Formats: sequence, C-alpha cells, structure tokens
Amino acid sequence: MALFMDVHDRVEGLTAEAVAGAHAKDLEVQDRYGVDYRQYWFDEGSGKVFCLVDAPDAEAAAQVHREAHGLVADQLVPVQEG
Amino acid sequence: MTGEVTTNRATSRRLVGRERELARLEALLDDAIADHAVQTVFVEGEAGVGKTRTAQEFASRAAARGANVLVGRCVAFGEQILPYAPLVELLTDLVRRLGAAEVIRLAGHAAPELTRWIPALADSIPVPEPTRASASLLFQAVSAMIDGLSADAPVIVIVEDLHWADRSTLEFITLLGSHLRGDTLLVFTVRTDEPPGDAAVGRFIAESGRRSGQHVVIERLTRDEQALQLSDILGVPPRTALLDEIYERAEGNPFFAEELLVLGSSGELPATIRDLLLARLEELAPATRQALRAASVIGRRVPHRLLERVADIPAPAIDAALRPAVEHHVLLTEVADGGAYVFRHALLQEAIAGGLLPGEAARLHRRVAEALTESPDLANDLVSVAGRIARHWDAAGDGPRALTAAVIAARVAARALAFSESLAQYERAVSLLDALPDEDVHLDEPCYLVLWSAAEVAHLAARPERAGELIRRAIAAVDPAEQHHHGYMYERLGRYLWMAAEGEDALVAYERAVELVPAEPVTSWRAAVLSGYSQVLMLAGRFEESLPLAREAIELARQVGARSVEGHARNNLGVDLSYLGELEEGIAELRMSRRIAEEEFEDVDDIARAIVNLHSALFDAGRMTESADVALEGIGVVESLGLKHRKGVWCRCDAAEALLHLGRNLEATRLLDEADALEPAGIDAVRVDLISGMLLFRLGDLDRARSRLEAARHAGARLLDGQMLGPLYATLVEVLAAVGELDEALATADEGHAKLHGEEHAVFSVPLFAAAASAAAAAATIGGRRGGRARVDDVLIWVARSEASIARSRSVNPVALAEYAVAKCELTDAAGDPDSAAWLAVAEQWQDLQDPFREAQARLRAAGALLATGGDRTTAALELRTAWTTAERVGAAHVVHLAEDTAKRARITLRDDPPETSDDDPYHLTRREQDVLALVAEGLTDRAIGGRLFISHRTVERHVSNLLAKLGAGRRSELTAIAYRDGLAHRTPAAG
Repeated sequence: MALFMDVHDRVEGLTAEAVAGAHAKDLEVQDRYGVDYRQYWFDEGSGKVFCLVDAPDAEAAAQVHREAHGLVADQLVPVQEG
Repeated sequence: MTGEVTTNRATSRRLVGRERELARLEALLDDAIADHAVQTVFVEGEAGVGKTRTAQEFASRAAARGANVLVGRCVAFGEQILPYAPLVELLTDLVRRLGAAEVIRLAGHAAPELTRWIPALADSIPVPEPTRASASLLFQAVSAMIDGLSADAPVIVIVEDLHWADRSTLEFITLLGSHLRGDTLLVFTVRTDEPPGDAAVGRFIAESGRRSGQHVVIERLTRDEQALQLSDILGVPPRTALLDEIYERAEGNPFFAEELLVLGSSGELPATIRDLLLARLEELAPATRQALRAASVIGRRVPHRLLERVADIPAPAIDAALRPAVEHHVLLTEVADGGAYVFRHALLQEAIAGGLLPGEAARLHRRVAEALTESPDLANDLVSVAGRIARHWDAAGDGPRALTAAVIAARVAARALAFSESLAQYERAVSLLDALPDEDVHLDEPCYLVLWSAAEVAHLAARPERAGELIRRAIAAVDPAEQHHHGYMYERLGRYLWMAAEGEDALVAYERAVELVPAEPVTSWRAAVLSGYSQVLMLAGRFEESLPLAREAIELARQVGARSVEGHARNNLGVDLSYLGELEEGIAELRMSRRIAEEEFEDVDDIARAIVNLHSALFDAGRMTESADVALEGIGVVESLGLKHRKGVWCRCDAAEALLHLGRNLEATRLLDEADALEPAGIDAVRVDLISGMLLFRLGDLDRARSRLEAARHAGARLLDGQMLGPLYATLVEVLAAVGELDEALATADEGHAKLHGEEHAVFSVPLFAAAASAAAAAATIGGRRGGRARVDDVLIWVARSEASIARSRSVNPVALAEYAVAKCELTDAAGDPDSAAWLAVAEQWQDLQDPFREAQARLRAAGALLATGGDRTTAALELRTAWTTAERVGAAHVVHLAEDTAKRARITLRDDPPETSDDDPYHLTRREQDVLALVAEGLTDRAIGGRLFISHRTVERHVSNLLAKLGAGRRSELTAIAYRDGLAHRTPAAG
C-alpha cells in the first residue's frame, strides 16, 4: 500500500455538498479495490480538489474514482507522511 | 452516459444562479412595503429557462418573511378557453386555506359575486343575479379581499404563464395594478420565445411594463451555473464529458438540461427540445404512451378519474401504465381533489399533444366531451367545464353537439363576467349555425335569442360594431309578431350604433324602435325604448325633442315600476332642462337619477353618467364650487366602480377645470399630474393637454402653456366638440397675445371661429370671441395711427359676434356674460376712451363668479384705465394692489408681473401696508385668513364662520380656498390638521 495525493485541477459544478456526495460514492466502491480514500480538500472558487488516498497502486485509486462518479484526477502524486 | 441519474430527482433541489434576479424581486417587494404601494413586475424568459422556479423561490423566501403568497396559472389558449383561470385558481386556493367564512368576510359587501368563480361558496351565500354592475362588484370583492390580506402582511400575487391569459383576466389584473391599496407585489411570468395567444397580452405587458419599468429577465445559465445545476441533481459534480454534451445542446436552458439528464441512457441526443421530449416518450412502453396521449388531450392537469374514463384502460392496468411516466418525471402527482396528474412542464404536454394523429385526436376529444357531459364533476373545476366540453366537441368534429355546448359555455362565461370569452364561444356558435342544416340545430331557445345574447355580450366586451352586426342578424331572424322583442332589438341596435360613433344611423334605429314597440299596454320595453331615444337626442344636442320623450319614459317607467329605466330617463331630462335654462330643476333631476342608479346598482355607467352630466350642468351654469365638488367626488366614485381608465382622466380634467377657475391652482395641478400619469389616449389626451394649457396660462408659464395647447390643437384637429374647441382656441389666443404675437393670435381666432361654425352655445364661443377682441384691442393700441382704425373695427366685429351668439342661445351662463362685458371694455379701450367704471363692474362680476384670476386681470385693467384717463390715483392704487395680491395669491405670475410693471410706471407702491404677518407665520396669512382658519379648525361651517365674522359665506368660501392654496392643503380636514400642528388655530379671532 502506498499513499497518493490526487489532484483535480478544475471540477466544474463543484460544491461542498457534491464533493461530499462524490466522496461517499468512493467509499462505497473502494473496498473492492483495497483502496482507502482518507481525506479530501477542495476550493469551490477554483474547482480544485485534493484527495489523500491509500491504495495498492495509482491505477486502483483511479479505478475507484472512475467507477464511483467518473471524475478521474488530473494528477496522482505518490507522497509520504511527514 | 449510463447510470448518471442515481437519485430519484429530475430537478435540482436548490435554485442555481438567479441571485441577482431574486434580489431585484426582493427589492421590489421592499419598495411595495416601504411605500405602501402596489408594484408590478414581469418575470420573462424562454420556455424552460426557470421563470416559475425563480418566482417560487422568491415566494418561499418572502413567505418565510411573513408575506402572503397567492398563485394562479393561466391555461393554454390553444388547449381551451378558461376565463379568469388564474384568478379562479388563486381564490379557490385561498378558500381552501382560510375557509369560506374568512374569504367572505374579507371580500366585504360584494362577497356574493365571488360565487360566480367559486361555486363552493354558494353553500354559504346566495348567488346574485348578474347585472351590468356585476363586473364592478366582483372586482370590488377581489380587491377588498387582497387589501384585507395586505393590511396584515405584505401580499404577493403570482400569475403564471401570462402569455396564455384571456382578455377578461388581463382587464381584471390591469385594474388590480392600479386599485389595490398597497403592500402588494404583482408578479407575472411570461414566455418570450413565442408570441402570446392574444395580442392584448403584448399590449398589456408593453403598457404596464412601461409604467412600472419592471422586467426581470431570466437568462440562460452560464456553463458554470449549468454545471452547478447538474451537480445538484446528480449529487456529485458532473464529468466534463457529460457537462460538455449537455451544455452543448441545452445551451444553459435548465429544463432542457433536466430532460437530457433523464433521457440519459439513449446514445444519440436530439437537437431540439421537442425532438428530445418525443425521444423520451419513445423510451416508454406502448401502454404508457397511450395513457399519456389521452392525458395530453385533457390538459396540463389531468384528473385521475377523468383519465380513467378517457384512456379506456381498466383501473389496475392504467396505474401500471402510468407508473413509468411518473418514475420518468413526465408526470407529477397531486393528491388534492381526488387525485390528479400534472405534466411536469407545459412543454411535455405540448409535445405529446402535437404528435397525435388527426383521427386519434378526434376520438380522444369525443371521449373527454362525453365523459364531462355525463359527469361534470370529473373536471374538478365546475366553472370552466362548460367551456371545456364545447372545445372538446369542436375538436371532435361533432358540429351539432359543439353548437349546443358552445351556447351553454357562452352563457356560463357571461355569468362569470368573462365577456370576451363568452363572445368567442358565441362566435363559434354563430359560425356553426351558418354551417349546420336546420335539423342538426338543437337549441333550447329560438335562434334570434341566441344572436341577441351574442350581440349584448359583444356590446359588453366593448365591440360595438360586432354587436351591431349580430343584432341585425337577430332582427332578421325574429318573427315580427314578437312585437316587443322585435322593437326592443332596434333600441339595442341604436345603442350599439351610437357607441360605434354612427350617430345618424343610431337615431334612425331608435325611430324604428319607437314605431315597433306597442304603446298599449304599458310595458317596461316601451319605457326603455323612449328613454334610450331621448338619450341619443340629448347627446346630439336636440334638447327640445329629447325632453318630452324623457318625461314620457319617466311616467311609463313609474307605472310599471321599472326604476332603473326611470333613473336613466331622469338623467336625460336633467341635462335637457339644464341646457334649456331650467337649471335648478335639471340639477334636481340629475341628483335623483344618480340616487336611483346607486340604489339599483344595475349599470355602473349610469352612476358615472349622472356625475359627469351634473358636473357639466353646474360648470356651464358658472356654479364652479359645486361643480368642482361634484367632479372631485366623481373621481373617487368612478375609481371605486372600476372605471378609472375609462372615466378617471375625464373626471380629473372636469375637476381641474373647475378648480382653476376658482384659483385653486395647486389642487388643479395635482389632478392634472395624476391624469398625465394615467397615460391618456385619444380624446382624453386632448382634454388633458387642453386643461393643462389653461392652467399653465393662468400660472403665467406661457411657453409650456403654448406647447400643450398646440399639442391639443394638433391631436384634436378633427374634433367637433364645442365644449373642447371653445376653450382650446380661446386660451391659445390669450397665450399668443400675452407673448406679443398678436397677428398669430388673430389668425388663430379666425381659425377657431371657423371651427365652431358660429352655431355653438354661447358658453363655448363667447370666451373665444372675447379673447379675440382683447388681442385685436392690443393690436390697435400698439398699432398707433397706422392701421389703428382697422384694428378697432376688428374689435367691433368680435364684440358683435359675442352679442349674436348670446342672443342665439336660449340660456346664457354668467361666465359668458362676464366675457362679453370684457369684450365691450376692450372696444372702448381700443377706441382710446378707456372706461374704468366698466372695468370695475367686470371685476365685480368675476368676483361674484369666484374667479380670482379674471378678477385680478379686470382690476389691473381698471387701474390702467384710471391712470390713463387721469382718474383718482388712490382708487387706481387700491385696485392695482388688489389685483397684485389676488394674482400673487393664486400664483398668476404673468398678471403679477404686469401689475408690478404698471405700479412702477405709475410710481405706486404695492407694499405699503405694515406687514400683517409675524415671523412665526410661514404662510403669510392675512389677519382675516387667520381668523377664518381658527374657526375652520373649530369645525365651524362656512355659514357659521360668516355669521361670527359678519361676512357672507361666499367670502368665507373664498378665504378657505385661499387657505387651501397657501397651506398646500387638499381638503378642509387637512387645513385643521396643519392649523393645529403649526399653532395657527390658537389665535383668538379679531373682533369684527
């Protein structure tokens, strides 16, 4: 398992409610792929979203997003807890 | 695009965007509350853009702030004619919320009229017989109800889909906009991407919108907003590809976007919303589509039990068929009134109905007509069911049944006072009568009675030409053995022709009516025919012929107890008598006719007519104060009768004209401002320009006076009415003379003389001739030796014309006589022999007539004559001072200026009295005025004040009108209030 920070550059129609909805869907789907979407941060004005995800690999993390709501991250950066 | 719709929602929960629009609506509501006013606003935009949604959001926010929200929808014109649909819906809803008893209490005395729209109320109050006053009463009931509600909390009235409004509804809401008390916002939603069903809608929006300037345009959503909308519906932000696809097609239209989202699973996306909606239907099972097609024929709102009958699908099967339509957000469900389906958007119903095959449509319409005929309660709306049935038979192509149903629907609409809609149904019936063979005509009364009713409805819908055509057909169809009907229909023809400005033909029709209706035995028919004939003769100025007919009509009406006819005839008699010199008797008749009209309350026009005629009689008799009082009261009366637009401008001009003669110029100005604000057209506009010109002339604002009078001359070029032409040309001549354009003034006088044909009543012509004499005299004086003589002859001609006109008239009013005296003084002035005594006598005449402006003019001329002839300087100074103070008091700037000029040249001091007023009196009241004010504040009548101060009550009246002007008060009660507020009432009246 590795930690990744995924970055959505600009999600259109972004609201707190909708991003929470999307996260909830991730949680429904993620177990099948052994993925854990831990936390997310967003900015309504710019549409930027960052998700901290614990996943076997980058592809598994992306697959959860794809299946849950279709909003695939623009970048997926491996990170370490500091 | 599979699986996008993961919630059970087709519509976003919160309203996306629109904050600016909502803020504007809220600001308007705030204005309405702060000013206690009525605001009107149009929420406009294309179909599906979210007008209703925005209005609803605004309403629910306002409701949270305590506002009372009333909502009614107009129903598609192409679907069926539903007179007053939005108002009926709104009231029905209100009865549901507040209960019948509360609604009846709020509606006040006119509450029984509401049963026309809400049959359920008939359990609580009796249904009144319809009369020509019913519309006015119904309006009073509704406005009293809204006013009652708005007294407690602000009211928002939302009328949806105004583009489908019927004419009756439009007239009603026009009145609401101008008559409601205040704290009320009227919101209309309007589609702008297609022309409205009725051109009248466009005019209404243009007119009201221009007045209020309030349009809130709902634009399409931006891409960001559309993304937010999708995000809210989906519960997650939309994928970019999905957003691209939807935004590309919906282009920001929220409804289109919703439909695209619901359609979701099908691959190919349609390009137009109609294609899209039909594609959506293709997705549904055949049984569901069949049920929806049947529903689309019924309307946007579909009662479940009716659909069951029409769709011809047994109960369990139809539920199964409809369920997918509900799940796919084509239909919404309603539980009220035994259950109903509502198409989620009007566009859905339109798309389905538009896709029906002709045979299929006819078959479905026949089923709806049969079902509703058998059980009208299936419609859930008893008022409109007759119209629905007629329309369905028509669409089913069943002529005989359509005819019978159209006549019933026409009668129902007329009872609901929806005259335009009633006429539309009658027109349908008349065209079916023409097309059907006799054996297919199944009516419960002879054909001529149907045509007669149609004519009367056309008359009430303000379509006099059509009324004339229909009544002619009725006359052709009646058996002449029906003598009373046959004759009386000619009376109706005469009335319609008069209204259509066909005066000569109207008189011929009335002659025929009198000939045909038997004199024996006495009937109300006979009385009505004679009274009608006397009215048109009176209107045509043939008073001598009108008078005996009016008397006979009164006698017959009394014999048979026809009180309304008696009142109508007394009105004619009153005018006849007044113009034939029997003023007191005439006034008594007019007052009685008004009382009868108010007691009977059958025809509101009769009340208005009595007031207008009484004013004219008093005014033309020179009884200005009484005439002003009648006209001022009339303004309030016609408004309470719902005649503000038809008569409000005219009554205001009547009042202003009397007031300006009385020197009550502030009041006159206010009334004319109000008249301007009503945006008068036609003859009303000419009259407002005329009276404004007269007022501005008296106020010395000569440039503006001239331009308004020129406007009246231009717009009224084809007028034939001496009552307008006389004062118009008289004042124009005076204005031109005052600015020194004497040749132009004299040319204008000639033009006016030609227009009057030399046959007018002296009251209209002599003021013009006197003005011309003054202009000619001024020209003679300036002309000096060269041409002076010829000018004096000119003056002589105008004096002679005045004299001839007076000799011709059977009764001469004192104003005309005073004007004639002015003309004679001008002649002696022009001849170089000014007669100060004659001018003083004229001044006294004007003083008796309570016309301070003319009085000041005459005193100024008297002073001038004294000074010119070396007469008594003390008298001259006194007259000059009186002229100056009088002119100053009424704001006659030009006369003030002339007086000051004369004083300067004669070295007379105008202000030699010690100041009578102290610094704490900002109104510069004379001591006498202070005394009168103190007594007014004590509540004394003019007569009582006169007794206290040893002066005549006429003089007191004059002081009171000065006080009104100086204190800027509109009414006596305001005087009292100001007197107490400013401590003017505590002064002890001076002795003597």
